[in-house]
Amino acid sequence: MSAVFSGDFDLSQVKQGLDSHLLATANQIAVEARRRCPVKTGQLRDSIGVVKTRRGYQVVAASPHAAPVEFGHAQVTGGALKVSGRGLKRGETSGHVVGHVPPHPFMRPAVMAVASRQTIAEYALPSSSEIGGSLGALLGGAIGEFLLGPVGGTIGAKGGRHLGKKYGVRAGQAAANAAGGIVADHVPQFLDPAGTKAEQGRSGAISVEPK
Amino acid sequence: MRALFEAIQSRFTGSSLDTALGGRLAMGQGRQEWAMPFGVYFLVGNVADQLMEHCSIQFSLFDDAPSAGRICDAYAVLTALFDNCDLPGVGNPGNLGMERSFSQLIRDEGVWHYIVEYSLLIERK
Repeated sequence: MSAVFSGDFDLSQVKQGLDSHLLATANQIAVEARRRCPVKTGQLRDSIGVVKTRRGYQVVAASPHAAPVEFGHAQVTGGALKVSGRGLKRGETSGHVVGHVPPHPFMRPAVMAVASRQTIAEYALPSSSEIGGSLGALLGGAIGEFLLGPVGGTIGAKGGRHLGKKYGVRAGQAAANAAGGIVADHVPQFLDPAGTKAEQGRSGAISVEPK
Repeated sequence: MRALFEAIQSRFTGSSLDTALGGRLAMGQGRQEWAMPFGVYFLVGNVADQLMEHCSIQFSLFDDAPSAGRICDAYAVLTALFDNCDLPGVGNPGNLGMERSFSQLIRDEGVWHYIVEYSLLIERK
């Protein structure tokens, strides 16, 4: 998608626009992750939130068991698995691996879902604006020409295109909304699901960062 | 999805990863009686549009050895087997191959866990 800038524009406004869009995207991912996360006590679900970072925003699941739930883990009983001479103190016994606990991913599917909706919105808005504009120009031109002759036709076509684009965008927003999409009043950013990594912190918390 | 899981399993069978894991690779959940090391793979999620289906697949390798040597070897064999590999019979007319998107080695309660995630674009008519 291309955008044409003309005249003076304030860079801080662009940054502000991007910032608000990143925050909106992060909030959408957080909502989706909360919806998908398995609930036993609600601690994991309630720990999902959005934090501001130097580069933008991160969606964080701060609960220590977030990563084992997201990625799965080996099941160990009787304490941690230790080997004599490597962390096993005198009189202490090592745990035993008894199996595997399958993962219940909630963060990564949330990112994928939000990214796919944004793609729908990205396609829907410009194309509906274009189609609306063309139809408006055709209709406005015909009416203007019928009422005022050739000059009226040109004016009518210009006015019709403007109105048609406006209503076309609204129709596109409605279409994207119907598809479950995120619609902002600026061009939606495509979020690459493969480029957005789920990262595990040392505490077992995980985070994703919209780009 | 069935074609995808069958293609992964047939690529694994008889490979050097099969040897490294002693045949212990399963979809979804590892069996309780399995010895280490073993591997598990599952579908993280998939979203579809009119042309493509975007799938994300996670492989998990587990090992209880004191050092990370054995699991790192298994990881090398896994990535050699699946990085940018072709999965015949998956998608219509085909797919755009497996692309490794994320990997991380962690140690939890004394067990090594290598998480390897792949992205796959499956074409659909």
